[in-house]
Amino acid sequence: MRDLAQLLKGNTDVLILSLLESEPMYGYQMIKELERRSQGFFHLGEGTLYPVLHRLERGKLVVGRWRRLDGGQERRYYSLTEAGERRLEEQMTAWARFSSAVNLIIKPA
Amino acid sequence: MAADLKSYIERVRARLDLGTQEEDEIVRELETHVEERLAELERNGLERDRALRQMLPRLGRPQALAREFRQAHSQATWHDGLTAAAAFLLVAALYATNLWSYPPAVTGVAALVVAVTLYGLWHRRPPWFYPWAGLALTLLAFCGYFAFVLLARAAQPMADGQFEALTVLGFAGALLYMPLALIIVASCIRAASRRDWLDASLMLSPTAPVVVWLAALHQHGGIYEAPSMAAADSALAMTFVLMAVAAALFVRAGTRTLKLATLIGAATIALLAISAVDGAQISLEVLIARTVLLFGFLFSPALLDMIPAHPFGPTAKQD
Repeated sequence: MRDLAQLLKGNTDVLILSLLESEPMYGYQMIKELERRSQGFFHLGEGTLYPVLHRLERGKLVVGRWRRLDGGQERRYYSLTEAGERRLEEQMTAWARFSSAVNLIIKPA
Repeated sequence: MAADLKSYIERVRARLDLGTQEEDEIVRELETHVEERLAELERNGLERDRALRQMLPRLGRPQALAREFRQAHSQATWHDGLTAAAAFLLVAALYATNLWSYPPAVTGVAALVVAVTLYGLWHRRPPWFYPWAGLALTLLAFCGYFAFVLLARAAQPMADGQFEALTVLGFAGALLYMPLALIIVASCIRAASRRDWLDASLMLSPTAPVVVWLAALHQHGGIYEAPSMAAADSALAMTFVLMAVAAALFVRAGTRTLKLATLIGAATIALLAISAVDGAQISLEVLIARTVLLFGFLFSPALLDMIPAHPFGPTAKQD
């Protein structure tokens, strides 16, 4: 489990950027969506998610905006910036090359 | 339990040490997140108190959460690293050129160190702040040395029954200075540790070599015997050059493990410097004792970090 936690930690940025690729999301939604898409495999703690979101925002890869819902409730929605989209594309390309290389080794034809 | 949530949020805020607007944004986001999560747990049939008990541990220790946010909001650049290193390079230059015995140069450097430290405090302690603050604290050690000399000089005539007003005043002033300086140093360490004990340790790093150098100066006959201190001066100058490199790496390091490794490196340099300043051959026992003392001193802020701010308070168990 410790190895998996390390793996998640090393890839948190790309996972979060991927989540935001389709639509802007707020923190709680991201946690739920990550669990849903990974079929419960990935669980991102609140204590990890928000500092990472703030770091990505400082790096101008995402931008956060407050929205007030009809019921008066407020949420901070994050969306990708152009720099964030470029970073995601780079990281996805790197990941695809890395995983195919790993597969060539662990699953030889 | 609502009080626990409020207390938790307040403890995070107290340790953020960012601008008011940034702190408000973080707290607002955390509160909306917690409310949303609580509402879901309540919809699933949990009572609010139980839901809150389940929710709070998921957020982690307030101290750790605040540290993560702070790091996210204060990522250091190489410019920060160089500004941090400049503090130690300034001292290295002072010793390498033997200008420390030239009062206008010392006064100029001291004024610059204090000014930069105050500027850093005004700007809410940016990443480069702690080496400068550490040097400002070593000024207290310098004044402490002069207080010690004054004390020793005033004690002799007083022991002989001469109680001139100036002598008594000097003695009392020097005697008062010591606890006052210790209180100031302890308060600074405490304040720095509240943010991160690693920063406090970096702040303490210049103190040990400087104190040992002052002891060597005293053994060599005091401030008027400057030429005989050339070897110790060179050793101290080299130490501060290496510590400048360590400070730049510390500030730029992205993880706490790397910062800790850099600090251990700086402490080892300081230990070698102490031996070089001392000059004499030392036994293994003395070396071990010095190592324990130095590392104990440098990493004492880590112990402070373990002590809760309000050990008997109702919420101490969460931290």
